[in-house]
Order: sequence, then structure tokens, then C-alpha cells
Amino acid sequence: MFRLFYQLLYVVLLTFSFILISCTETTPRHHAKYEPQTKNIKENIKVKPVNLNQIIMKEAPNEHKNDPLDVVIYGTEWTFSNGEVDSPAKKDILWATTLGNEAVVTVKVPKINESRINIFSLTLNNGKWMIRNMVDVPTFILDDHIKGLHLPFTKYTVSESHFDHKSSWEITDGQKMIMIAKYPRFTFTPPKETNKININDHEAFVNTMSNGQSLLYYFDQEKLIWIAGNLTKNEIINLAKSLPSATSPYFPGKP
Amino acid sequence: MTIFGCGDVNKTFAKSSGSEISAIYEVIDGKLVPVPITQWENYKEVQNWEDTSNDLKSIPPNNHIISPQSYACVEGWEFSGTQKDPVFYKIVEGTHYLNKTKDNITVTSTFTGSHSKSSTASASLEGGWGPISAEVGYNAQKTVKWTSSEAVKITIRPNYEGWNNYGTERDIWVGTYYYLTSSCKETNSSSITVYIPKVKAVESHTRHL
Repeated sequence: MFRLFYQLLYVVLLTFSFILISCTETTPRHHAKYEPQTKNIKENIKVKPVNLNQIIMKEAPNEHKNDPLDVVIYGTEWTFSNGEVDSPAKKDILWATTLGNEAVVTVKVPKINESRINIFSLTLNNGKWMIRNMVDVPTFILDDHIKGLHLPFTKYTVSESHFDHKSSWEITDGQKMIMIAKYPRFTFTPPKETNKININDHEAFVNTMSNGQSLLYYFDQEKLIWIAGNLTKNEIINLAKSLPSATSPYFPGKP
Repeated sequence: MTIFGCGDVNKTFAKSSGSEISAIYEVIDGKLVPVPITQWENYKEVQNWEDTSNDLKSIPPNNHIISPQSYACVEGWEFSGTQKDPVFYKIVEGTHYLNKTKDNITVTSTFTGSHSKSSTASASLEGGWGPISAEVGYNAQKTVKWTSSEAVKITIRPNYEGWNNYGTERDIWVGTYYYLTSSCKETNSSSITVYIPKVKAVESHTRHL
């Protein structure tokens, strides 16, 4: 009887020991087998670049038509190649400027692999701001040059836009954006804290804000020359001084 | 340098895709030159049609004798062909802009990256492009390149979608490419079609939403 009991106990212990050994051996095998595969999978995953497929410009809600910044934020929608849809947020705004019934808002498009800037020109009509013109500028090829222009960077791209008898040149190095605009002369109340200076025998007005954004304008015959962008006071004055007459066919460059 | 052009939104030309061509430009010396839409009707927009056309298959060599044996010829590859109507080839489609406001919006349209199209032939050219250049009268081995800094203005009416197709106007030549022996025998001859991108061209499209 005891002999049978010991024999059974021996078999049970032997089986239990075998299971334990099997378990302890199996675990490291799994590690050895699967770890390199996981690594390979990670190496093979390539992130597909996200591009901008579509820009939708729509009516901003009435309560947001009193501010050009709000019209752009609430009236613009980007559709990306990965299916995502987004609208400009305040953090995406590079700068915004207003002179009377005219305004410009520049936005850096988020989420995409390339650097791309949208520049919106707006007009105040019956107390409501509306988008009149939009320039969509990719900024990863910086090989343009405007002769004679004093800019704070050496490599940049230029986009030229004409609408409603207005012309503007958007110059960017991918980070900073400068606009030089030539509009038909119009009257407006000067912005607050504007200093009067002399630019090439023209009475000019300059305004520098604490966020590194500057505005400068002057009248040249029947034209308003309007410069705005991420510029210091000295940079915007130097740029304005390098401009030719508004009537020059090479404006804003020189022959 | 940004290229700027102005589309006429009133004249439109219906396309089978449901969109309308509102303006057409050829790029001459880096500047956009408007092309009348009626002239463009002669062109056919064909995308990748080298892959689908039936007339692109080369025929086997026929060792055809074209001259009496008494003549002597300069040995080498030759091409003898005729020119067909040019076609528009779309290289890249610009970003689409949707105007859901109540007023016209002008957009300076552009696209991502750098895109190009080179001359193509429907069969391998053992003697290179020289014989084709000699027949067409200019260097036939050309590449047309669009880069992101070249953009075009388009005016989009309310409730319309607008975009630009950036491409090239291509010359088409159809003919025989062959090897001429010193005894004036035409050997290894193939019937080929050649596509040569000549000028950059832009089609501005609009479509009702």
C-alpha cells in the first residue's frame, strides 16, 4: 500500500517538475523569438507625409465678422491628405494687420510636413469683414531674389498677388513673413501709437508691437505703400528705404 | 520667381469630368501667356495615355530595302516621321480651393514639390534621341519641370471649387525608327510614337459645388 502511495507520489512530483522546467524554458524562448521581429516591424514602418489637399473658405458666423482674425479662423478649413480637417487656431497666426477698411492675416498651416503659409487679404464691407484674396505659399524652396531689397534674411521665396487693383508681394524664409503691398490711395484713421518718420522724402508712419511685429506705411503719389511682418523697427525702416518709387515698373525691386 | 496669371471666369469650357476650364496659359520665357480656350479645344487632355494607346506597340524588324543596291548610304540610326496635333499632359494637380462664401475670391494657387515630365518614346531607342532630333528640327530629348515657386492666380465664384492643372503641351511624332546600312538597307525598323514636352502649360479648372 505504502509502496503504491510512494510510486504515485513519485509520478506526481516528476510530472510537476517537468511542467515547471517546461515553463521556465518557454518564457525566454518567446522573448528570443519575438523581440527581433518587433524591432523589424518598427524599422519598416514609414510615416506617410501629410499634405494639404483642400482649402475651404466659408462664411464666418455673423458674430465673428467684426474682426478680420476671427473671419479667417472661423471661415477657413483645411483638409489634409490623411483625412483630417482643421481650422486655423490663434497659435497658427503669424501676424495680422489692419489699415482702415483693409486687413491682412497670415497663417502658418499646421500638421503638414512641408512649410506652408496662407495669406488672407480682407475688406470691410457694410461693417463685416470678408476674404477677397488668398495666397497659398509653400516655403521649402527659398531661391528667389528681389534686386535692391534690404531684407533681414538672405534665402527666401516671393509670391506675387494682384486683385481688385491692389498688388502685394509676400516674402518669407519659412519662419518670418513680410508683406509689401501697393494699394490705391484711401483714407483711414491711423493706428494707435504710430510714429512719424521720413522715408525717401515721404512722410511715413511706423508702428512696432511687443510681439516683434511691425507696420509701416506711406503715400507715394496715388498709391499707399504698406509693409507689415515679423520685423523689428530698424528692419522695417531699412526695408522701406530700399523700395523704389511706387510708379517703378520694377517695384518692389530695382532694375 | 512666382508666375502670375489672370483667368477669365466668364468664358468657360465644359469638360467631361464636370469641371470647366476657365483659363489656359502657356509658359513662355518664364511668363504666363493666355491661350484662347477655343484654341485649346484642339488639344486633348490625356493622362498617362502612353500606357493605354493602341498605336504604341513597336513592330518587329522587317529588313525592308528602301534603296537600289547601287547607292551608298551613311550608316546609322534614322527616324522618319510626321507631326500630329499637340496634346496637354497634366503633370501635377494643384491644391483645390472651395469658395463657400457669397463673393468671388481670388487665389494664387500652387502645389507641393517638384514635378517633371521628360520626352518619351513607345519603343527603346537603340540609336538614342539624335535621329529624332534631326527629324523634328530641335533637341527632342527635353524635360519640362514645374516647381513649387511657380503659381497661378485663379478667381473662384461663390459656391465653386477651383484648381489648376500644371502640365505641358507636348509635340507628338509618329514614324519609323530604323538602322540604315551602308548599302542603304533599312533594318531593325520599328514604328514608334514620340512625345516631346515643348512648353509648360496650365489649365485653370472650376467646378460647381
